[in-house]
Amino acid sequence: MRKGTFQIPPMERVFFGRPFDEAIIDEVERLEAKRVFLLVSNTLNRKTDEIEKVRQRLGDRFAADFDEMPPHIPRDAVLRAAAVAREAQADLIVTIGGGSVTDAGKNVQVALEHGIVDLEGFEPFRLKTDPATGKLDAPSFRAPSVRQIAVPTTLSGGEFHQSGGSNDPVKNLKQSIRNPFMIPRTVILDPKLTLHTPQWLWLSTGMRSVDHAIEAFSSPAGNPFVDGTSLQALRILPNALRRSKKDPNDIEARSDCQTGMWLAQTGMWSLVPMGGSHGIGHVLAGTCEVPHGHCTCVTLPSVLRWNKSATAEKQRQIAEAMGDPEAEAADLVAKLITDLEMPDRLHMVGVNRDQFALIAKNAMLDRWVHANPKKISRPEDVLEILEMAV
Amino acid sequence: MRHGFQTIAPMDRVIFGARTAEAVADEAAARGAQRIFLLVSGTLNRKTDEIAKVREALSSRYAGEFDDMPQHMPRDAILKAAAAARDAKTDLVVTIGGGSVTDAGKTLTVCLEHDITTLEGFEPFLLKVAPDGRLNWPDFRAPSVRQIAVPTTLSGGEFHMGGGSVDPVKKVRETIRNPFMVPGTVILDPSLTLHTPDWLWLSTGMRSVDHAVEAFCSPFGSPYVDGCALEALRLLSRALPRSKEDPCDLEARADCQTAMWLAISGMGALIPMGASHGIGHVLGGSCGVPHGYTTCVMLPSVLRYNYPATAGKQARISEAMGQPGRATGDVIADLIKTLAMPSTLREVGVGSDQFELVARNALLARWVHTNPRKISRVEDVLEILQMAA
Repeated sequence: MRKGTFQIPPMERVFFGRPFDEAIIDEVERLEAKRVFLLVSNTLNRKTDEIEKVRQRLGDRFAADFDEMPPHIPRDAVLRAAAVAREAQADLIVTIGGGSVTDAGKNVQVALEHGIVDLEGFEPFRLKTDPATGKLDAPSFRAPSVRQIAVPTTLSGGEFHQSGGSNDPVKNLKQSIRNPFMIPRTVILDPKLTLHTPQWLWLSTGMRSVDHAIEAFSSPAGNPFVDGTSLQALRILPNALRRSKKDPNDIEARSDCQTGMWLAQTGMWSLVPMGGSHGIGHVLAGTCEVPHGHCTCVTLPSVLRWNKSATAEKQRQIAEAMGDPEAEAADLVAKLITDLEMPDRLHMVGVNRDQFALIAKNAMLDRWVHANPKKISRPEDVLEILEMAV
Repeated sequence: MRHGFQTIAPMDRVIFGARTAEAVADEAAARGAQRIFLLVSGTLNRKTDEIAKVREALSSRYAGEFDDMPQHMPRDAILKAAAAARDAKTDLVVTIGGGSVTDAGKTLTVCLEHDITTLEGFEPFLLKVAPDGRLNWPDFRAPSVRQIAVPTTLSGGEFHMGGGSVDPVKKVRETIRNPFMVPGTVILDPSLTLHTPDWLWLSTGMRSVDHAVEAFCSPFGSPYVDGCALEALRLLSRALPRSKEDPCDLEARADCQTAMWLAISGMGALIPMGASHGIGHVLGGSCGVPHGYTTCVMLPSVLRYNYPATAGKQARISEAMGQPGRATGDVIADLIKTLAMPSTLREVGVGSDQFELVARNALLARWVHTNPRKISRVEDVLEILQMAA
């Protein structure tokens, strides 16, 4: 009989379909915040009036903002954002933007709580994985007291996770920091706000959600509740993403994409480890600067094929949930990627054979490579998967 | 566009496929508890060695116990249990048993926190429902002594932050609610449920079906909960008949527990249920009908009554239960028949002479007012009762 534990993080509320500025004010009032720090997307701040609406509504509760967070969250930028928040004596962080902005917010919480002011300051807090054994060292540290509300504009889903990645600008490696209270207290899903998100980013992070659902469902360390939410996500996402591709102004389709993403995140939410697609994807992102969503598009079908011998029955259930019980799960995923006109080969995202050895070596440092349902124990295994995705 | 928010209850974890004694001792240790009070099923305590195993695993951290909680949690019994827990200076309550034991535990933690020692003492904490359906939830300090719940049925109350109890004088069931009344940990042990009588296991399984159906049909639901509810119905429609066919099939019992867990997502997120729950509470409180049976006699009729308001959703329920195109009331009625549960009011001892009283009390139940098809008069309830006569 299947045994295990489903961990529930200290998130309090999820808003759906409400105008995000209204929902932010509701929460600021409920939490009695007086000095709100906005960590926001540069584009939303400079090319739309969305952030200005929030500043207006906050009135004198607006303390400061920061809108210069590059993709993949380099730690020097995190330090600059934290300095602004510290200076402003922020008592609540509101992030409005994509996965980088959301994850940066989680890192800023830790930087504020523990007075981190230089790159070395992050070292005691980060997760460390032994490359040989895959054993994870997760440092335990005092929880942040200045918490976060997240308003995501993509489907990458990081707002449902208690760990935040950030990139060491010297080692060029993405690393994670984790604490239960790094998870946002509240998530606000507003489909209309996502109309500003570039189409490639919206759809590729939608594929990221598919990846969350598939790797959570396939994980040997999963749980039966997450199986249910993952399969339901896979019933919703392919159709909702195709509708969203066909008509980018279809708000109901965007809303369904957000629902699918939310269900798909239940695995990450409850700390179910992901697998090889996420693990290798982290390296493609950190070492080769491939956008997160595109990482999934190039790795997921190959990882599914490589895993087939270990997860045949689960892949059958995935195919059934995606609408064709007779098809190969990998083919259904590949077809969805093609229909969304996303890049599906490593060379299309600018990664070439001469980088494979470095990617494979760094992949063995990633905790989720070691949590793959079919054991990945050597860099050669990673190379095999990369060759399938050339 | 659909909008709203979903509340996440402050539960810490769910342990599944567990062995009770071991998991309770581990959790008590993880929480640093020193004086543990057991509120347990009388049958489990007196006719099996399951509770003895827990006492043994807790050893010197065992502080006291109470095993005499009647169905529907009369408040005089809760006061007795609370007095025992208070005397034992308890710092953690562990409930092991069915829905009554679980709910009594939640109310007991409020008695401890606010020193309630008389029936009148409950008054300031009770949810008040005006006849027009408006709610008044009293706000009060959260209980500091938390609960670990080990359920032996599929009624799912351990995932909810509200606890029902019955006033022994007025014979009306009322609710007390606080976020921290939700158990900190739920332990699901399929093998422990082998002691649960079949009728209780299967009828509370139907209660889970009811949780999923009414959460999915609620106009106040959430899209996340819709997904959980449909998955629950996919699983329950298969796992309950398997459990009926072979009561010793532990995998079927584990699947029933998983489905119950998915099904209760709506209640856990404070999504209001509908008339099957609302009228069911009255059948429980005023006529003494067991919870699971209230679903068996009410749900098909409520679905038929609601059809004009929820036709599209009912089609998706039938599809999830593997019978696309069939009327949902019939699909559920067939499942009840397969499980050999009672399906009419008469079979559970409620005669038409009681309908008037049931209908009047039903209008005081909050979930009657959140039914997807408006119920505003005694006649509306009578119409549903007649369909289930």
